[in-house]
Amino acid sequence: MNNIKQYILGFSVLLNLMINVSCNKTKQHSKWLTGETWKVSEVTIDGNSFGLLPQFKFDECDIYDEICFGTLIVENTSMANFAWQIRDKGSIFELSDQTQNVDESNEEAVSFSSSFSGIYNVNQIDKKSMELESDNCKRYPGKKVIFKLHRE
Amino acid sequence: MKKYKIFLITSFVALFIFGCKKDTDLPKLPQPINEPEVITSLSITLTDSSNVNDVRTFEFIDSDGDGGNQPIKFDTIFLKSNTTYIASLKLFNGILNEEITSEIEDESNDHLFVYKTSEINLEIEITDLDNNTPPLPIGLRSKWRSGIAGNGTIQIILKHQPGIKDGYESPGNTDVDLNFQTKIIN
Repeated sequence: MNNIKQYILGFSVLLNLMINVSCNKTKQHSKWLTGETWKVSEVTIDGNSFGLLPQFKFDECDIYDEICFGTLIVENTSMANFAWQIRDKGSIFELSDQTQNVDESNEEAVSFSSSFSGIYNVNQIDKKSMELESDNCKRYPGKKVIFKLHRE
Repeated sequence: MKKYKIFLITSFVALFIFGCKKDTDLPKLPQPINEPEVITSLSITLTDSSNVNDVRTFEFIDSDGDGGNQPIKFDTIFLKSNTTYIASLKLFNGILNEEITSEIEDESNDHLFVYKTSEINLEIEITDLDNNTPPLPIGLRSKWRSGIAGNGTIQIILKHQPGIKDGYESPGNTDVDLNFQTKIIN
């Protein structure tokens, strides 16, 4: 009888762990971004380097209760707003430009934010680094865009 | 055994209610507000206003768009001196294989072509207007008046200015920015 009890208890603990670990990757990966600033260290389009390397400042947010926003900063001067989301067990990252007003002062950042809006596969992510890949960025449909980012 | 059953049932109920939100619980992300035009080709057709048989076309073609391979065609513009040309532009998205001139026309209240000449004797006057109040220039059609012979450049910029077009270059995103080498010959 004791064996059955231990078996049921062990099984339930294992099942709980499995469900929690798998379903919380979206939340866990999102937590690594919220409230943090990540610097783009490399962007390539079909293997060719892209010169502009901005910072992504992710606002604090609850991913299930609200849309998460952030600020894209180019050389500490030009800024754009974006919405973002991690989903599918942390395997997908989506970027969507949300800048309301565009003028000379933020044109560079908005151009980046709108050009690279799209759905990315998360190739790699941990607390300090992340690699994203997409072939459906708004300005570069059909081209392989790879982002490498590091937390500041 | 009864205690274990209660514990198990309670823990599973709690787990499914509180423990694990699904991706379907995530809010839907809004569409991007600013979307860049993907323009891979621009062609300029110039018709001599005093001789409609003198039609010349100059092209910029970058088949794979920004980044990637270099443009496969970037013509030098040749003009006769002291001549007036009627100019029109056509734009093409080679990635989706569609002409997008009509799209720019449909959204003319949000688009502006800016022409800048450098080191060359050439005046460019935009002749088409949008439906804003008051109407503002678009730039798909224009009149070019060449002066004396010489070499220089014509810069053609397409600004995307949704809801903020004011007739000037400053607001909005830049969809196209091309510098055509230009020669005016006698």
